[in-house]
Amino acid sequence: MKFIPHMAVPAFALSAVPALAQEEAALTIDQQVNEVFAAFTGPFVNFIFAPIPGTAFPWIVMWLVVAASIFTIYFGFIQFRAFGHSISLVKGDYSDPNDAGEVSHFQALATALSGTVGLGNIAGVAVAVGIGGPGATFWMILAGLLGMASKFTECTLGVKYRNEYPDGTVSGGPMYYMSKGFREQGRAGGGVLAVVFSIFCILGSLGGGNMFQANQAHAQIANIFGDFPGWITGLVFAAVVFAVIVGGIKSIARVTEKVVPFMGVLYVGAALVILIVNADQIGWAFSQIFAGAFTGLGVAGGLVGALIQGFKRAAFSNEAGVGSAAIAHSAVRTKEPITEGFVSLLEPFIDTVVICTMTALVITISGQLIMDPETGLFLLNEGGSIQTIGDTSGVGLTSAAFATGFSWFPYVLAVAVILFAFSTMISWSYYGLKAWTYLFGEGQTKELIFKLIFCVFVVIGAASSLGPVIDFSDAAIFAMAVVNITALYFLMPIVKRELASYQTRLKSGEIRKFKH
Amino acid sequence: MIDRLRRNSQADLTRNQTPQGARPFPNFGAGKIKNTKTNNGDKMSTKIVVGLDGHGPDNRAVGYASHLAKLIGDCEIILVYVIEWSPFTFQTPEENEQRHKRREEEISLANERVITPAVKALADTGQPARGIVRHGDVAERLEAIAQEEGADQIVVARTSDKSLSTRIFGSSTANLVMHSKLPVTVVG
Repeated sequence: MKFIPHMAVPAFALSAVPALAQEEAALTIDQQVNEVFAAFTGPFVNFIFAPIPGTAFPWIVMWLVVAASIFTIYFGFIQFRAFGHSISLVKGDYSDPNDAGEVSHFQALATALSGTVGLGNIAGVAVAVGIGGPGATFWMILAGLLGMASKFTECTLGVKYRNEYPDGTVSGGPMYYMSKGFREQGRAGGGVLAVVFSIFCILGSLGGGNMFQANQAHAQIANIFGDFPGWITGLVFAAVVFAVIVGGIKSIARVTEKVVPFMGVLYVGAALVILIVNADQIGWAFSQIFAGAFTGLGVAGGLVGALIQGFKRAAFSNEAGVGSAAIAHSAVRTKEPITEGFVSLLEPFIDTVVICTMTALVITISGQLIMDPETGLFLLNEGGSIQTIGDTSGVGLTSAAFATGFSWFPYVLAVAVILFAFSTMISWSYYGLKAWTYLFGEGQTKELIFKLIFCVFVVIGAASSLGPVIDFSDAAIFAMAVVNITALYFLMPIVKRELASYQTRLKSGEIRKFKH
Repeated sequence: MIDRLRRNSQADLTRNQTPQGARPFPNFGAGKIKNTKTNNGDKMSTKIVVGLDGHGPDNRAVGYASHLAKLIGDCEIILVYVIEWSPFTFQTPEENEQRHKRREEEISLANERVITPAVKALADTGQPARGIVRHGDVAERLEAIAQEEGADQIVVARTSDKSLSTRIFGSSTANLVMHSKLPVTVVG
């Protein structure tokens, strides 16, 4: 996911402070909005991110990790058993050439990944490692591996219960499997869950999937060119987003969708080169990760501190259990909904296990985290984070770590952040639109209203630092997970039946490869 | 490098190529292509797959195939239009949502503008023909369809595409000539 959880906002918000004069002019409005908004949403935000009594562990993170563990056991460690088959599906080995021209498994995976890989992988991991130490990486990988089972469950259901319209278009996502799946089971409450989910999805798309992205993009641009009014960035972004989602100018989206994977490959490639150059330190870095995972190596909170940061980052990064991926994957026109489940389980692997781990390894190896050579423990600053060279944190820490290998990389990183922010907006505008049309019905006027609201929020997001609004938006996205996982618990037997049927037919040869 | 690729492609093309404006080989296949028989003894028509791309040179390919069919006698012409498409491109969620609809529109348009007029033109001359529209890699799909249909050869027109990608990766025609296991005739 390309947004930073509300706990990390202050560090970034500081770098996003617009020019003083502009801020003074906007302060009164901002303050009024903040006060009113905080009064209404504060209790909800506090509830979603509340720690489990007696610990510092947010219950929402525990909710996601426990669900992922349950799905992992219930489906017999499907993420490991079906990994090879998932790769075959993405390669198109099982795709009938006569169905060519439909959305391929690769395209569905790439589209969903462009909505999840981004700022979270770059800045969020730095936040986790900066607070929880290298040990957070171990728990992050574990949570990423478990999250693969959550994605498998929700994306299978997303395809199975999507709506197909007479004109050939489709709409799918948690709201459809909640209402249709519950009805099929003769269970009440599916409609209510779907409506609640849709409301949270709309709010989340306007906030974390939009305002926060615009805000962070402006922060990065301001870091390079110096401070200038945020509304300028907002207007430019809004104009481009408008051109794509309202004007239907697909070429911009196509360019972005091509450039974003390129940036992702460039990022991973740069990380790999740094790791290869420092190959002699990789063993040491992994020893730090394992030692830190179980001892904390002096980080605030010790073992639990590292665990919380790792789990939190993975959960916030790959969106497993949130339900957004189910919307993205439901466009695939497959005869076997379970195949899309298999493909989707690769997402947390790529997003968290591969890319987040790369970032964590580079930060660890770069020597940016200051360690006491005598005790081997990390030195902490007043805020409880690990001291870093240059006192960097978040995206600044990642940038500094990569700069140890390539001095020019911070500029590439800045471009990457902007592009990732844009592609996240495009993805979340779609997720929000699907929730909107579920609530208010399909229709050009209704869709146009949502798209215009979305564009307005781009400007607001870039121009202001509305902390409570952003906090609420983040809370809304994780509230999606509360509703979605509740539904998944009831509907997972359906996925299990689909899985058993598919596996039987795969073994019997009824489902066969088209490529050998 | 590109020049060398082009030269190589041209050399491959000339193996089966009929010069533009020249009469087709009068004896091409006439004595060799014979109607085969199935296992139960029924006579099976010779089939010629003609690859179309919706441009002017299509007429030459169809004309040559029609000429061949007359020489052969019992021969069916299968006109194939492949819509270039790759499963490994990147798309937005909205494009994915509308993909099925777009696919149907693309197939319908290809049938309406390319296949149906060509089939009708052949039918008017008394030549049995039918059309197929598919998505995918042009060279791969043309050969795959020809294999599925049990065709005896593939006829395509020479392309004059001079785009950079064609110069680097070769045209669909050149790829077909280089990789096809069936005889390919490139009509100039």
